[in-house]
Formats: sequence, C-alpha cells, structure tokens
Amino acid sequence: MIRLDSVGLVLHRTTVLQDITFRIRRGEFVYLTGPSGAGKSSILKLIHLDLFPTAGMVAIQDMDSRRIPGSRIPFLRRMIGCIFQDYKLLRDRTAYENVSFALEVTGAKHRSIRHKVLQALHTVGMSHRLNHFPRELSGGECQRVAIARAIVQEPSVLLADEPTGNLDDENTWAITDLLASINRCGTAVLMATHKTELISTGSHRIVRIANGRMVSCGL
Amino acid sequence: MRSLSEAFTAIVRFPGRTLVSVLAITMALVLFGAFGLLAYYSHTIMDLLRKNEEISVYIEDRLSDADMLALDASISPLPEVESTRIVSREDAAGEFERMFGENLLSTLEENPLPRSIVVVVGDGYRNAISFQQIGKKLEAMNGVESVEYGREWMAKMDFVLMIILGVEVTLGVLVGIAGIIIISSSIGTNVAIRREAIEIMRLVGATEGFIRRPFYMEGFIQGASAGIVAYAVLVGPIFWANRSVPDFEVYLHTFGISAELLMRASCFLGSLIPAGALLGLFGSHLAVRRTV
Repeated sequence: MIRLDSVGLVLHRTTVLQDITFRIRRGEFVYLTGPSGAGKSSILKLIHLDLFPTAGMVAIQDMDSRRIPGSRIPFLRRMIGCIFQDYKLLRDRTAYENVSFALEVTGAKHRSIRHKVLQALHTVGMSHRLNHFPRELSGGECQRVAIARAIVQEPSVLLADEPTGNLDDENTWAITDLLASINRCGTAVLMATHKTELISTGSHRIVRIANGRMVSCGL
Repeated sequence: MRSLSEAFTAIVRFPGRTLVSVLAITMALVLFGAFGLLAYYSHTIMDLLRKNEEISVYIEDRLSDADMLALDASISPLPEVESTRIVSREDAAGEFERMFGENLLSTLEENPLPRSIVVVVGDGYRNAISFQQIGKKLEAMNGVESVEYGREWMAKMDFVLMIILGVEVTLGVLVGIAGIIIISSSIGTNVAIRREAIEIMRLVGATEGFIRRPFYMEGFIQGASAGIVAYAVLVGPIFWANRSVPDFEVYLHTFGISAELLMRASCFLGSLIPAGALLGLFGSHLAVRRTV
C-alpha cells in the first residue's frame, strides 16, 4: 500500500535520510522509532508528500512520488490522515468545527458532514465535548479531536507523528489504544515515536531509524 | 459560495482594516475620476473650439475665377477636408465691414483684399500637427499664395491638452500601483493571520484553488466597494444638483456642458467600479502568490 524504495533526502545540503526501504501493507500497524532527529518526521512528510525524495521513490497505492502531478496531491492527502504532537487544531473553532473543517475543504455536502463528524467524534469518545474550543480541552482530549479530524475522511492510512509526546502516561495509553482500535477497523497506522515502552508492549512491526538510515525493519 | 462567505467573514472579523483599505482606494479612485472628468471636459471644450478653426487659402491674383473653381474642386476631395467655401473680394470686404464696422471701399479706390478658399477640416484632423500638414499640402498647390490659420494657439491648445492627458495617465498609473499595494498588503496580513488554517487545509487535502479563492474574493470585494463609493462620491452631487437646483441644465450649458456630456461622464465614472474590482483582484493575486 505504501512503499519506500531506496529513499534518500537532502535538505539544505544536509543528508537527512539515506537508503530507506520498507513497505506498509493494507491494515497494518507499524511503529517508526528512533532517537530525536533520526528522520522519523521526514519519513512521514515524504509519505504525506510535503517533501519529495532526492533519491529513490515513495509510492502510495498506485501513485509514485516521481510522477504525481501537483494538482493530484490534495486528493492523495485525503486518503492519508495525520496527527501530530501539537494537535494542530484551529483555536477559534470548536471540536465539532475542527472536525467538520476537514470535510468542508473537500467540498462534501453539508448533510453528510454532520453525520460523519458526529460519528468520528463518537469513535474517539468526544461526543460530549463537541461544542468546546481547544483551550477548554485537555491535551488528551485535543489529541482525540485531532484523531477524529484525521479519520473523518475515512483514510486508508493514518500517520501519527509523536502523538503522545505531550501527554501523560494515562492519556498516552488511551491514545495508543484508540489508534489500535482504529487500526482494527482496517486503517493502516504508521506511528512515529521514541517512547520505547509503547513499542515493547505491542506485537506490531517496528521500523528503526538512526542518523537517517534504517537500522531494522521487523518485530 | 463558500469563498464568498469566507471573504465576508474576514471582512467582518477585521472591519477596521477593511475600512481603511477601502477608503484609501476610494480616495485614489476619486482623485483619478475627478481628474479624468477634467481631462474629458477639457478635451470636449477644446474640440468645440477647434471646430471653429478654419484654414484660409489665399489665391494668387493672376488666377482666373474658373481656375479658382478648379482649385476648390481639387481641395474638396482631400480626406482631411470636411467642406470648403469660396470667399470673393466682395465677400471679404463685407466680412471686413462686419468685423470692423468700416466700409473699406469708402476710403480706398480699389478693394485690396484677396480672394480665398476657406477650408473646414474634418474630425480627427483638428490638431496642430494635422493643420500644419494640411497647410503645407495646400501651400504646394498651384495658384495658392499663402495659407493662414491660428497656428500658435492651436499648438498651445495641443500642449495644454497633452499636459492634462499626461497628468491623467500618470495619475492612473499611480492610483493603480497604490491600489494594488494597499489591497495586496491588506490581503497579505489576512493570509498571515490565517496561516495556521491554511496549513491545516493543506494537511487535510484542500486544493490550492480552494485555499486561495476566498482571498481573491476579498480583494475583489474591497476593490469593487471602493469603486462604488468613488462613483457615488463623484456622480452623487451631480444627480443631487440635477434634482434640487432649478435650471441646473441651463446653468451647465453656459459652461458648454450638455446633458449628453454628463451622460458620457457618468459612464466614464461607472468604469471606476470594474477598475476597482480589477485592482482588488490583481492586488490579492500578488499577495496570494507571495504569501500562500
């Protein structure tokens, strides 16, 4: 479903990634781990087509990073949900509006937006907080809203960049469980994290990165 | 529809900034429109004055009346000539008497005034350069002694008109640049404020067109609003005076301003609205290209 073949990335004359090769199959849960600055976020940005490889190629379903026209990128991104350590929620919009925003930009019909947004907020356990602004929510709740926004478009893959980086232990496990339950419904998840305690408890595949190179790719 | 509502949201959210931007462009457009009116009025008045300007072609004494008629027949078909009129010695003496109130023949034994052909120049040739060219052409004709017309004042009129048009064009360029800068900076600020939302839009798969359209719409609305206000400021007083001041049309007529001229001026000022909208679009295009 997602394939990275001998991917290299040079930014501002600095080699960020070198010879990265791995695949993510449909419905798979993969951890991407390594120390800070190893290149985890860069790999997620390559898959999201925020960055383009300077060597090798990234393929998402049938689209190849070397050949995809710029006008197709937004449509590809609709198949990829993203969540971040800092949530990236709009501060002047409620939880409901933040989630509906993701559908509005795709030109979805108003009636279907409401149904899907309520469904997504229910999935992440935030139905009772839909009219609250991000400043009125805890970190864990903000991340749940961000997850709702990421899954509301029913993406085939979810990219999570240190989603528990700002959360306490309780919320870290809650969010990890939530991502695992989303994965069980068929959405592939690629979760970048440097928290080894999360990785050690799961039975998911782990891609380890260090100094921009892939160290291992297995259980 | 969504672009329109987003644009109005931005305008409502920052009314002060929008108002300052619209007022600044309005002032620039009013200045341009007012000077445009002056240029248009000057052009019309000068065209009226030039219409009365004729070329007098004085005929050599040796030419017979038949030859003079032949000369007139060769001048009439020239493309620059609207009409000709033959002035005999007697006609000239009569005109002299009309102008100076004195019978020339009462003091002189012989009428000294020459025969002439008066040439009325056609539309599109009533300027100093064309008069000069026609004059040379007539002078070169066989039997023509000299050619006379208001050479100096025609040149002065052309010069004044050129200055007015030059100022108008310069003003147009300056107003255009100022309007584009004002709208561009206003939209640029709005883009900066909405940077976070733009980043999230890209994240969730919004197309570039979807992201940019509201900013274009906002620039369009600001520019068109400024055009409408400028139009109202310039045309409003004329309409008000037309309704409220008795014999307003008669009063205007003494200045050579006809109802048709007013109508044309109103149409010219109406072009301030699309001009403002275009400025808005172009200004927002620059801001969006630079910042989004």
